[in-house]
Amino acid sequence: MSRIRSMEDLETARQQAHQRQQALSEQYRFDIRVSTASCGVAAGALDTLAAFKRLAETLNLTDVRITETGCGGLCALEPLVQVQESGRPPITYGRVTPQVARRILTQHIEKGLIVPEYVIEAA
Amino acid sequence: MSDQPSQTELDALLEQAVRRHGVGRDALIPILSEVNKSIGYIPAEAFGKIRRRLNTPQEGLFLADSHVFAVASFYQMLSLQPTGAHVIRYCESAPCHVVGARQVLEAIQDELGILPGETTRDREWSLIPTSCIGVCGVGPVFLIDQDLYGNVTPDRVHEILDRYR
Amino acid sequence: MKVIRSLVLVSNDPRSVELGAEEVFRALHAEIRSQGLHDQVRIGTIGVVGEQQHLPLVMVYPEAVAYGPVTLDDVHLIVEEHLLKGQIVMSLLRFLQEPAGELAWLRTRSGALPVQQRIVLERAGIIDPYSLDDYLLHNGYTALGKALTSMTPEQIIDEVDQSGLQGRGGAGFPTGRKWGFVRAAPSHPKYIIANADESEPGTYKDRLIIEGDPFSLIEAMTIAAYAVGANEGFIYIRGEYRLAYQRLENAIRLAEEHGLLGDAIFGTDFTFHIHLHAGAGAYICGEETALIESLEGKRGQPRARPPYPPSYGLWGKPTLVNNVETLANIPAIIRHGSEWYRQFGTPSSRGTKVYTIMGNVNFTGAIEAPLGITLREVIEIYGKGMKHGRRLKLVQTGGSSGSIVPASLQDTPMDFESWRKAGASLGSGALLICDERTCVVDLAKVLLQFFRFESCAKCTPCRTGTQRLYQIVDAISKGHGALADLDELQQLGKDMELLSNCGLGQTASVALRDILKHFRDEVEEHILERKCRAGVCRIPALSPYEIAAAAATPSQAAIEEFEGSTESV
Repeated sequence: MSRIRSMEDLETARQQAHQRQQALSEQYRFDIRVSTASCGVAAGALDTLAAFKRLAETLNLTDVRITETGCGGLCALEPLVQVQESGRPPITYGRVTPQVARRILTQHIEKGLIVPEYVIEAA
Repeated sequence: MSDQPSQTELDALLEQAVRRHGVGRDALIPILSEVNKSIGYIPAEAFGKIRRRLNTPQEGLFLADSHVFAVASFYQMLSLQPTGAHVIRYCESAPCHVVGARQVLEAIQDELGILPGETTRDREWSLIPTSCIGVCGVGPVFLIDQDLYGNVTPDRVHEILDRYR
Repeated sequence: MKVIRSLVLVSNDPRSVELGAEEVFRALHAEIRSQGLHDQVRIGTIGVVGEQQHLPLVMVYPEAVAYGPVTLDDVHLIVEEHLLKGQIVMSLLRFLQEPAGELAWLRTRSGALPVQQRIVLERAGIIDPYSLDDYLLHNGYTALGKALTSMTPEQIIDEVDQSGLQGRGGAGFPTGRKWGFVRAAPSHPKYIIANADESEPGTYKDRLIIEGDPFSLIEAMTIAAYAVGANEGFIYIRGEYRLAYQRLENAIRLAEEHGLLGDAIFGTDFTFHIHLHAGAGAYICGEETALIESLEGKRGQPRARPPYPPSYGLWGKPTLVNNVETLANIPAIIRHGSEWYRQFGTPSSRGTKVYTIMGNVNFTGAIEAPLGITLREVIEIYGKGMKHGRRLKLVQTGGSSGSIVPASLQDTPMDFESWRKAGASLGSGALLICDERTCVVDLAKVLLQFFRFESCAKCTPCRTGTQRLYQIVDAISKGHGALADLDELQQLGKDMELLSNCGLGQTASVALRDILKHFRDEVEEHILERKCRAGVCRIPALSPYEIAAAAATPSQAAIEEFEGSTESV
């Protein structure tokens, strides 16, 4: 992205961002977003994030992209994790410990079965 | 980390801080913070060194050691004494209090055998009260060094502290 | 207030669609509407679920029930039995997870998550805070572009003024007016400061905004700087907020690289630089003049006011100090206009407010809702009720310096005006919800402990007053109180309010004042009956000797000796 010098540049930058995102969603079927704001971190989100990364590698899940996001405000349910298959609505899981992370990867990602008892929102 | 630094170490540290934050009066707190972060506290000889480094009488800036001390002693994150290898900062504000922070504090005290403000004899642990850390949604909360722990219960204390032993 | 009680999801993978999932979706939609449930039930689609022979699948939350294969004939049954009567249609049931633990219990008990009105938290938790791409794709920088390329500074200030936005740091001062003061100040240069020294216990809204959406603060500050005529800005952020600091550092760097901050922003001749300054741990630095002192490298002790920062601020120059949440409203106001913004909230308090909910409710966390909702709504809808079904006793609003609101006031709309009339303050939006196991004496003690710890010690009323208040309340909590103490507490509180130099000393006794107003009998019980009804204070029983001693009148000498000893506080 180059320097933005006008509203037209902003529009161009946005289109480029959109294309980059498209490319990512073609490359990766699943987007896993771990909420790593401080309350998430306090509740163990970094362990969860590490578990996702480690397990995705062990299970050789190459079409999974793992990123971080801020906090949606649901502190009571931290650590929060959003799983989104490209073109589908995201599923939000709460209280995701490394053990739950494993189930999400082996059940939701590998077999397409969501893990109902940890779903807090799906829309 | 709280070992007495050598003069050269301290000088090098100050140079590095000055390069990053400049030498104006407004650089004083960032420099003190950096010293505190690297050494764990601000040694007494740092006051004179910082003052001499910052003072530019021709531009009207003239600090005495006492000015530097006054600032260093004002802020809670700056320590004037050596601390233990690990510092536990526990939140004692009302939001954590109503969800059981006192019981957690008692568990930490029992585990370490020290009271708030003290350091263990083996210089491994310091226990320091702090105001709200801003993660009240998952209280009770404490910090060990830079790591945040939330939803803490008295029976988790031993296991968490063990990670640092 | 709209509450979504159920969430219905229809599978829409190609196989399901082939088997009629779209027809099922439309039929469900129509049936839900005809049963009048459309306000309580949300319907959506879901990908990959279940096995081939069960498609199309319909999932119903919060129960996490899956029905399938669902045909058009089953739609009525599902709506009637499950959504209307709350019974699971066993004949269609594919899988049902037994509620496991607290999470499932919460979900089953109270339905899906309520709808929030989000303006400042619009992107938090949705975008990647490290990605400028994400920010741009979520309307980022549209407002700054609009402001710089098509609006004059006066028009911007006018728009902010018209929106009715009031400061969200606690005082509620009209933002547009403050901007106007800074713009009109004759001296140069001018500075702008984002106050991110969020230290009021229980308040973490600014942290959420910064950690979740750091670019929005930077965009807002840039707009504000352009409007008031500043070329340099500071973000004073709490030293404890390391993560927020890192995310801002990254956002500033990216914005600078892309011509959105620094020189020639948006190709105009407007220059604006932002400096990040980490605090070193002092509650008082949230007070704007203490913050300015601290930025200048001094002890964070408040200045005498007036002059106020808009005319005499950082290095004696006109300075705009705004709270992070206040600023985070700006891009949306510029983007949509003040008319749009005015639709939220009440006539006297426009817009939304971020509340942080904590304490003895089922669901702690942060919400953003229009100003004017009630405490009851917050507790019931967002907090999902009191934990373990206990009774609400009181709510402390706005952190340690805030008011104590008894349960009887929970239906008062929460806006600046109504609460002021009720003798309470909304403050920073922190809501500490306490059930009957909370002892008011103990609570007062914790709060006063906070203030005596945080007093900057510059002025005497605050320095000794906070200590004295604590001593008296501590004595009461241990069974050493006297009724006369309550008068002393009240008088001392009033004196501190009048005589203290800044907000810390002036508000240190607010909670205590409210406790004595609403819960005096409970405090008196500690003194007269040596009883703590919440069972928190450990008051030892009197020995026969003490009973005898209490009955005896103290000698004049003893009184004098006692009064002498308080001098050394």
